[in-house]
This record gives sequence, structure tokens and C-alpha cells, in this order.
Amino acid sequence: MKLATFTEEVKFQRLDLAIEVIMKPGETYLVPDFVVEKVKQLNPKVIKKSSDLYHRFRRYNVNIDLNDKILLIIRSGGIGDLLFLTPMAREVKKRYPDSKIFLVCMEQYHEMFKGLPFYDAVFPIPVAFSVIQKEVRYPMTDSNSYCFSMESLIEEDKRAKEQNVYELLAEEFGFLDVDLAPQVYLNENKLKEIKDLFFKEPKDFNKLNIGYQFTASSAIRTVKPQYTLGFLNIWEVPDTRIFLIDSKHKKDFIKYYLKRVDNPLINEGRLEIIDVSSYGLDYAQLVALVSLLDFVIGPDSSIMHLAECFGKPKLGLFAAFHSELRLKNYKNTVALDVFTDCKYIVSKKYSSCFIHGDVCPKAKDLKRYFAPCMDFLTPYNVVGATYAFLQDLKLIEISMDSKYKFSVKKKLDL
Amino acid sequence: MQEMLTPTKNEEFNVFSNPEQIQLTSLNDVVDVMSFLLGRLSILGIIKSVDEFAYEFANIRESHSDVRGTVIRNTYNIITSEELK
Repeated sequence: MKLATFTEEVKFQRLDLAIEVIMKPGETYLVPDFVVEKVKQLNPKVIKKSSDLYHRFRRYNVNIDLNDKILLIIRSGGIGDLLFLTPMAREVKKRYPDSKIFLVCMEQYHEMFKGLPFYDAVFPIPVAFSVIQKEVRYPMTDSNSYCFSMESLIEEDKRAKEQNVYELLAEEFGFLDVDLAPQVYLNENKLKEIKDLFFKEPKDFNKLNIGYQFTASSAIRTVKPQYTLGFLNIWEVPDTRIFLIDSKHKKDFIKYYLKRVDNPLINEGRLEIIDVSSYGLDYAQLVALVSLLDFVIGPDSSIMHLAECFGKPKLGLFAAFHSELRLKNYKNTVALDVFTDCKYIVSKKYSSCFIHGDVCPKAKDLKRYFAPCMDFLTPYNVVGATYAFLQDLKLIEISMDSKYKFSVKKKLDL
Repeated sequence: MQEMLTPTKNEEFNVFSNPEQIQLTSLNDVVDVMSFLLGRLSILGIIKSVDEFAYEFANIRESHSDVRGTVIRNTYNIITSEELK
């Protein structure tokens, strides 16, 4: 992240999310590095001034009493990273109730966090410095303004390859004993919208409602879609509703695979597959949907972490990063971790390559798209582990009806 | 996106849309069938957990590459219904 001032009006657009921010000339904005780089490429004269965050804010450290001070928590990454930060922000507020804590994150996520009690305000990126100043209501000076930027902590710090991400952040904040449960804001209006959309009948709640995240934000962490299709085809529990969760811009991709679903339970009216991507939900609606599910299956991505906010049992599918680094402190969680002899693995303990970004080098070598390590998570592995876990949780049981292997049991409020 | 839309093996659709008619044309197919049968045994309670066989069979599984691997189940802080009572 950078602090930048422009000589001309600069438009920040995300067409896929219908986001548009006009940055006025002369104003100082907090903007992601790539925006500054892009403007520099197009016309370097437009940048009047660009500086590192720490030229304006003090770097947060554990010895600072934050009462009557301002802490900006800044992260331009995805939902997971923002959820990892919530226990720390909550603890800062608990220890320093007179502090002002602001979260600065991407626009599309800001509604998921703005209602949390420990954030005094949540600002979408890019944000004008004057907007933050207005919210503070007293002068922001060099001595009272701090920031904690998570940039590069997960990507470059070698501790991130050995330590659970929550524990790493707690260490950075200097907290030895802290509740590490992530938290998200559940908007009641959005909850009502989702109930009206997907849970119209009371009987919908009596069915087994499973959320399955189709693809992760990155291809390297995604189980190839043919396998998800395989899962849908061999699923044997009647009275299940499977919500295929993915972003709206992948709806054609999902549709392509859903056309090939062939499970007799569907024709019998005992299995419903709901393509959530086609509904174009926003992230706050997605939060509401996860809060209503019974069980969640997914790769190392947002839905796993959102499910933990609501104590939902979940099955994680992990390879590039070992599940311990993300899920160790989660409740009611099972992870399938792949151990391989891939040459890009750098940790024998975890059999992980720790590669961020979208491209798996092994997949590139093999001229394919999805990481080959994820191929070991076959539909049979995933279905088998799901049945075993659901039986442990007493959500399903062996059926007395010889036609079906399982039946859905009365649900427990776990 | 186009690349994502192209299945790596078209025949995989057939394999999973009708598990009763799997054609054993590769080592992976054999492993899939064994996993499937053991999964059934686990459902019937004859073996304790489907994960027990993961160690045994995944070791000989190969992905569509030269990568060999296995799947290990990790559980974190399970609260079963018995514990809640």
C-alpha cells in the first residue's frame, strides 16, 4: 500500500464488481501499490507524490499503549486475510478501549466487517486521507497514528511456513493468550434476503444443507472441477441440498460442469444442487448463506474461514499449504491433506510448496491448469471423508430404508 | 478461462457419472475401484473408517503426471454430539 497524490483525476475501476472510485487531484489517497505502478506506466507526470505508508504512520509494535491513539489495520488481500485479523483487532480494542481502530480493505469486503464492534470504521480502498481524518475527529499527528500492514507477512515471512496464521499474527501483535476465533458481521437484512431466496419452506431447514466451494480464489488450491462433478454424481444421501458456492464471474464455467451432473437422487426429487454463482450474491449475502448451512466443504479459501465464524463443521481440501497452518485452532474441522513427492515442495514436514498466486509451476510443466497434487483428492476420498464426518457429527445415519445408504438425522446446534 | 473449461481427460465424466461401469484401463482406475469398494465396506461398518485405506492405496496412486502422493486426514477440535450431552 502507498500514500499517493495525483495531479489529475484518476479513476479506479473494478468492472467485475461494479466498483468505481474517482480520486481527485491534490488529495492524498491510500492506494494499492499496483495502482501507483499502473498510473506511473500510463503517465508518470500524473503522480505528484507517492510514499510508503510508514512515512506518514508509525509502525505498530507490541509495546505501544494504544489508548487515545489510532491504529489503521491495512490489508488489500482477500476475505481469509481479513478474517485472520479479526481476533487481533478484537483484542486490541479489549486492551485499549480508548483506541480508534480502523480497517482499510477492498471495497467488496467492507460490508462484511463494518458492523463489527471493535472496528470504529471500515474504509474501502482507495480511501482519501481526509476521509479517515474526518472520522477520527481530532488531529492525526505523527505521534498518535499507527498502522499495521499485513502486506508480505504471509507471503514472505518464513514463519508463515511453520506457524498457524492466527498464531503468527498474535505473535506480531504481541498477544500470548488470545481468543483466536475469527468473526464476521452478519447483516440481518441480508439474512432475511437469503432466507427468502433459498429457505422459503420450513422443510428446507430439515434437509442437509451443504455448501461446497467450487473453486478457490487461486487455481493452485483448487480441486479440478471434474472431481467436484464426480462428487455430485456419487453423492448418496437423500434430502440433501448442495449449494455450489463460487463468484458470479465464474457462472458460465460452473454451468458448463453442472450440465453434466447425473445423479439419480435429483430425478427422484431427493437431491437439489443450487448454483449460487448464478444468483450474483454480494459478499454480505454470502456470509448470510454460510450462517444457514449445516456443513461446508471447500479448498483452502474463503468459505472455510467464514464457516468457522459460525461454528459450522467443515471439511477442508488442502495441498499447497498444510491445513495446520490455517485450521489448527478451528472447531469441528476435518482436513484432507495431500502429501506428494512434487519437486516444488519446500517443507517435508508439511509437504507444502507454499506458492501464492495463481500458477502452479508443476501444472505449468505439465501444460495443465490445476495443480496435480490436488488430483489425489478424488471424489471417493472427499465423499468418504464427508460421510464419516457427518456420521460422527450425527447429522446422518445408516438408513433403515434399503433403497438409500443414509438418511438425514435431526440436526444439532453445534 | 478457456483452458479451465477444457477437461484434462474427457473420459473422466463417464467414469464418475456411472461408477458401476468403470473401465479398468489404468492403475488409477484400479485404485478408484478399490477405494470405492472399501468406501462401501466402511458405510456398512465392516471397516472402521474410509481413511484407513487411504494410506494403503493412495501410495500407489498416480495423478496424471509424475507426482506420487497420499492423502492424510487431520482432525481439529471435534466436538461430537456425545460430548455436548
